[in-house]
Amino acid sequence: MKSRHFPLFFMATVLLLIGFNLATFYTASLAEQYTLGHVGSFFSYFQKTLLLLAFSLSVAVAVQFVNYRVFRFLAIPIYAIQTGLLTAVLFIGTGMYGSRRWITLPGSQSLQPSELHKIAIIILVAYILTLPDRRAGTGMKLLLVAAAVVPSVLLVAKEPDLGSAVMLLGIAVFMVLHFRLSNRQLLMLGLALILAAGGVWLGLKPYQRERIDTFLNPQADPLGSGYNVLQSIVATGSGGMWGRGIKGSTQAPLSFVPVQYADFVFSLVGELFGFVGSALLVVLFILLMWSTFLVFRSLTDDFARYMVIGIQAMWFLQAAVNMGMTIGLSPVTGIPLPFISYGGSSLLTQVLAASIVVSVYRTRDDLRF
Amino acid sequence: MKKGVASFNDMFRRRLVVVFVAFLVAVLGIESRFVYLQVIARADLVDLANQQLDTDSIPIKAKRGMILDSTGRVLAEDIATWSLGLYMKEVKDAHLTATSVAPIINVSAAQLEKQIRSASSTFIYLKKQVGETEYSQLSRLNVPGIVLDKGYRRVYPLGSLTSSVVGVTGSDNQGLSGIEFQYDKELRGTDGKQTYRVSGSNPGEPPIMEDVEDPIPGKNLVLTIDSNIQYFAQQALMETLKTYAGKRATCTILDPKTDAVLAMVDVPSVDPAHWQDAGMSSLSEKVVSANYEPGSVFKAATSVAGLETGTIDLQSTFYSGGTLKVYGTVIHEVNDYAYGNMNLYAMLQHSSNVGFAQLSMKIGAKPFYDCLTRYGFGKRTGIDLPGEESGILLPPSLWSKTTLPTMGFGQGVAVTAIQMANFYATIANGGLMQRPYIVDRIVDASGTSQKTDTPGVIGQVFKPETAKQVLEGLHGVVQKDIGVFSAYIPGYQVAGKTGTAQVAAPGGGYLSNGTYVYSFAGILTANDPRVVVFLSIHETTKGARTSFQVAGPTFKKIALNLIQYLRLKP
Repeated sequence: MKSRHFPLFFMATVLLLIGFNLATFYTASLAEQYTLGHVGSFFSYFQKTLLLLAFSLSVAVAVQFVNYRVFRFLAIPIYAIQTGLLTAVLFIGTGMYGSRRWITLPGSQSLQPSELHKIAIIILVAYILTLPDRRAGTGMKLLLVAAAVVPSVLLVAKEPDLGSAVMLLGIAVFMVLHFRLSNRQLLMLGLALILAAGGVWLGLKPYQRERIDTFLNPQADPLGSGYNVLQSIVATGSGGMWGRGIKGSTQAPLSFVPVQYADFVFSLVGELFGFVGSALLVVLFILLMWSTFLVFRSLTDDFARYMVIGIQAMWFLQAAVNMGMTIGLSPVTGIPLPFISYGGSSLLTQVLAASIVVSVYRTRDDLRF
Repeated sequence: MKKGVASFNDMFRRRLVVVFVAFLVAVLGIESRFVYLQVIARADLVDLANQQLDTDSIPIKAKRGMILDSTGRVLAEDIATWSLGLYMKEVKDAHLTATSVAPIINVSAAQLEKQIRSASSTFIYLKKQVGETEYSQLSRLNVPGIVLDKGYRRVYPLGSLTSSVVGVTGSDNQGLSGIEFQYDKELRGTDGKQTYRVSGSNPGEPPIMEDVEDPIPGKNLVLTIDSNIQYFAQQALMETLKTYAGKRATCTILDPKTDAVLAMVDVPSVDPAHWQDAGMSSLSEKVVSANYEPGSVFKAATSVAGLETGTIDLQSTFYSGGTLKVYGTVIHEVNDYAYGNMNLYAMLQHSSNVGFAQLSMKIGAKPFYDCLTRYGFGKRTGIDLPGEESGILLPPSLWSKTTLPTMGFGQGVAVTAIQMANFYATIANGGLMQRPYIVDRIVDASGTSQKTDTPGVIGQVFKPETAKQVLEGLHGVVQKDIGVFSAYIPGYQVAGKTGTAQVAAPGGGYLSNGTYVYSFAGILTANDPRVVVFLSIHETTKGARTSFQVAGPTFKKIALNLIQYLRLKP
């Protein structure tokens, strides 16, 4: 059936999200130009995003023609390369605020391995969970998943990038949730995770605990650690129903919200386009979830299903945590909003993920039991 | 196997519901939070956003207008100067900064480095008043953190020559004295400003420029003062002060036709670059701000009043026996010389105290007072200089019995030099009194010049005929062999009158140390009055003690220069 060659609904949703990204940054650059009287940083983000899109989309076009089954064979090599990069970043990485998260590439570009590592984990976990039963039983598979995920989580946490580490863990957990486990087994897994969370809390750096405290009470210290969240809330809230637009916006052009182009991009949307714009973006994410679910439903191969579950989990977790952070519902973690936040590694990762979904859909088995 | 797949699908469906519910909760949570923030709490959050919008501005100094003399020579101007500062945040290498900057601003590099290292604020000034050449060297340096703020410094190229008239400015470039004070509004211009918006989360970044308002430079003033005349008048006064060890001296030179002030000298004068050392009180122009008893130069006023009131004519005579006793007070001629019968011209020539005492008594208190008031005594002339005094002319009701006779020869009345000079200018101008003025025109940046409202005519205060008669009498004073021949200039008809007055002591009476004020009022020339020169030499302590010897020759020096400079015809 020709109509099933491309998941058009899904692809349209992704393109709408990318369009939303460009519209947001272009509007922000106009607001900046209006307020400052000259071209500001948002315009350069807009330009760089265009370049990144050109690159990411050409990679994506190539990937979606690939039969997803090759990922079975690539799962371990990709994971190995990624783990090598995650190790390397601890030694040669660069970053802000005392962290090492980026590897500098020639031409003043940089790569954030923890972003692409999500794809590596998704492919590897899908591969492990679909190993033939005769080669690995349920318990063995869980152990293998843990053996694959835990070192990655620790490496990323070491950067330190706790948000991304938790994200890796969350994706894996979501995928395992769909594994054939009895309720008792699930309960045991849950308890193990709670214990692990306790251990992590004890191992947190003071600033990391502070962020969680800040999340609980942002107004306590408006110029200190609560500053980011408060400015973000102010930006989002001042947008009102229709947004403050190009001439009315002040938070974005005057850079009151720290890293508004990346982690706090949702507050930019909130200020510029108001509740209508924010709700539209939330709707676009719901559509992304729904269209991905439709792809999922058409699949019969477990490897494909697990990959799609992992990708969907990534989008859901990232979107929920990022939006929550912007409006003071979850702690500040530095998780980018998929397709919207500025950042090369993030955009490439999300576009790759989307192209895997397309590839899975295009080269799926038509046979059903 | 089939069962396994089926149960997987069943289980999967159940778990899907759980996932879906979790998803729904998340979406609802996020959406309701949006509603709360963007609809319910919106107004408060907009307030918060607006509260932190902060603009700040720094002034751009306007260039103060120039003051020029009538020949176009610069008497006061602003020159650009820069303040050298350092933004400490941008300073990477204190040693490099110090060693690059130090040789240009001529300080020790080690000391400068110490100053930079010990800086406790984010911005420090290294040097104020950096000149043009240093500025261009500093601006070429590629050292981060250097800031050069432009400002202006007031300079007075002629220094003390015109300081009492031109005045000085204070540290904020505001006029403090003289023309600088009087015309501060015109000279000052309007400062511009650079408005900045304070950016939110990037305190290290430079502020965002919001708006630039260009400063409007001040207007230029062109004075009636001619610095050449000013110069030779000042030289003459300084020589006299030196010869006779005088305390101070003034010279006022007016053009009687327009009442323009061609020179106004007040010595000793202050170096405007260091006026602070001399103090604020030394800044006032004594020509307009000092009251003193004029003595015999005032006899011209008594003469005009006598003729104007019809009390006398040119044939009327008074008798002098050398002294005159009035109400128990004895009025003396110089050396008690008995001149006998004298008409007005002879009285002027001999400067007869006895004659003028009789004349003023004959005029009568009220008419004499009315005349003097009309001639501008006891009132400010209205010259465009600050701090003008009005002299002291009490109303007759407050006079003692001897006031009227002594006032006839210039005692019991106080004048300012400008009043006296202006009275003689009125005589030279046929009785038409005008307001003396110093600023001829105001020129704005576009070159459009605007005349000041001067000269202002005060009025025909006495008849032209009277003026002519008194002028003739004053001409008789300065002759080759008689009168004040020390002021005589061969070939020229000089009119003039000396004055020697005691100096009023603080608390009443006169100084008894033998010091006097010597005055001379001269008109060049009697047949064609072109300039009026009035000089006063105060409290000499050495050498001769008569106006004839002290003031007359000083006038002559100035007059000879004036004749040459203005090409006056005989």
